[in-house]
Amino acid sequence: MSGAVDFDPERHLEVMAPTLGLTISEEQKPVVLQFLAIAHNMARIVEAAPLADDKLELAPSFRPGLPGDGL
Amino acid sequence: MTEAFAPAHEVARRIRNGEIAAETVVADALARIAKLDPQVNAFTDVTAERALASARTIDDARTRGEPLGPLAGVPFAAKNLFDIEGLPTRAGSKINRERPPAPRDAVLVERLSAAGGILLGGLNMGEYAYDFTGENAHDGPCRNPHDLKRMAGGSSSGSGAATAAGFVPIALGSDTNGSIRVPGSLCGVFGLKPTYGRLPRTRSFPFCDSLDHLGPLARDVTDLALSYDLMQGPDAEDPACAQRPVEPTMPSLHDGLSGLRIAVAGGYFATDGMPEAEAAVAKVANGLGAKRVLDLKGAAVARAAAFLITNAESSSFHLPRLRAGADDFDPETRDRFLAGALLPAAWYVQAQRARRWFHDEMMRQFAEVDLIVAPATPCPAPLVGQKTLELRGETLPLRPSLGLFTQPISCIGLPVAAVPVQGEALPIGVQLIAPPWREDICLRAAYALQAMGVCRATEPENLN
Repeated sequence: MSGAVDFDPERHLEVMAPTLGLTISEEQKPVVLQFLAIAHNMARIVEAAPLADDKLELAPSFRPGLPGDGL
Repeated sequence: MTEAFAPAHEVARRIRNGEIAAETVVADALARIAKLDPQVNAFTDVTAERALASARTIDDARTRGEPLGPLAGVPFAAKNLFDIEGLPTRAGSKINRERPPAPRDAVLVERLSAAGGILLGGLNMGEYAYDFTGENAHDGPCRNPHDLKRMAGGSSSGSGAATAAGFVPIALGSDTNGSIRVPGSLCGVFGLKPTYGRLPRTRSFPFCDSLDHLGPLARDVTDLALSYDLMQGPDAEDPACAQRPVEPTMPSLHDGLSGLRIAVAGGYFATDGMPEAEAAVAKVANGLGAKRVLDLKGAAVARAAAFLITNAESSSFHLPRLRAGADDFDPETRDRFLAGALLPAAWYVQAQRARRWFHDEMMRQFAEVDLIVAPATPCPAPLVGQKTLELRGETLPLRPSLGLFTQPISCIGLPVAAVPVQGEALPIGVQLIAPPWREDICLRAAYALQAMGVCRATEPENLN
């Protein structure tokens, strides 16, 4: 996932920004890249959590029939 | 103690007894704000006319012999992400000022008002709550009343500063990763981040749905507990709000520490190289008689999970605003939002799985303890404009580092009271962490520490 495989923040930004309709200026780019690198580091920490490979238990819960934007 | 620093419950008692008029209390508070807030910058909107009209209503009701609420005539204020009728809910941003005025107050503002509280206005905050410093490019930095060269802490900067400065005895804030506890720590006041889902967020501007909490800050623990109790109860318009009955904390507030199993958080929460935090934790642990040290394994994972969940959810929420005009954001938040919008979905999903895992780990720890003591911030208030922090021999970026000790706790929604300890020069906070839905334990311990004199909100010496 985030793993030890190459994560190139610049290449990621170049692909993902237009995919999401975002224009990131040259002035903004260096700091955005720094935050992408921090997020990648956080993803590596989270990936190391000893999670069972046969469980998908996400923290948020959704309760049908209770209020929300869709009702 | 000067009048401006009188506890809210005491002010309400005097007003109920006819010893002082609500209008006098409110006028005095407004005069103090007009005189001193230009130095502090805690308020972004002062609702003076509304406040004076509400005060006169309280005084008239007393004259007629009608019963008055527990907060009768008590001034309070709210972080400007709470809806205030007639004002656009700016949430610390420039962009939101174009929004129409809110048609109705946020539910928690309504509940405090129904108890007799009088809203004095909206409070400064970091843009869209993505902040630990209290700096804001649009409204200017909120300054620490104990030292105006220093940060108030964020993102509920105005809430911490307004209570510490004696502008209001109670303020409302929000806490996603530490935004009540960090300004509470830096400004030297008490703060309560209740259990996730306890207080309804209805008609407040969101930041990160999975982690957003609302709660009070106050200079006095009784005021903290009283205001919290008055705000409890479900509301149908917040899907994350638990459908729990009101569970009042005031009846057990004076019960003391008897029977409580209390431990100090070690490992990730160790304070080596952080002398002020270390001293504060030691004082509180000593006061509570806590000797056992508990290694909260997984805290680093929880902090990383909170970082990713916050970054992804908030950036997705703001995506249309980022597309329409990223340069209208505060540059300090803009680039984090832009990065967050690009995160792979797998990182976010893994973070939500890890959050569940850490929650389950902590529930096992709470089988053996009732309360955990941990530092709130690594240091007292840094200077306004400071960009880095020296921690454990490393130079780290200041903004994320101020939340080092608060993020893992809000990640799993545990209730926490932040309690202030006076250091040699500046105050610093300590977290009292309890199992879910046990705010009563946090507040009981906070009250005991205040009664012992270990924790107290001190008056700023040089604010005049």
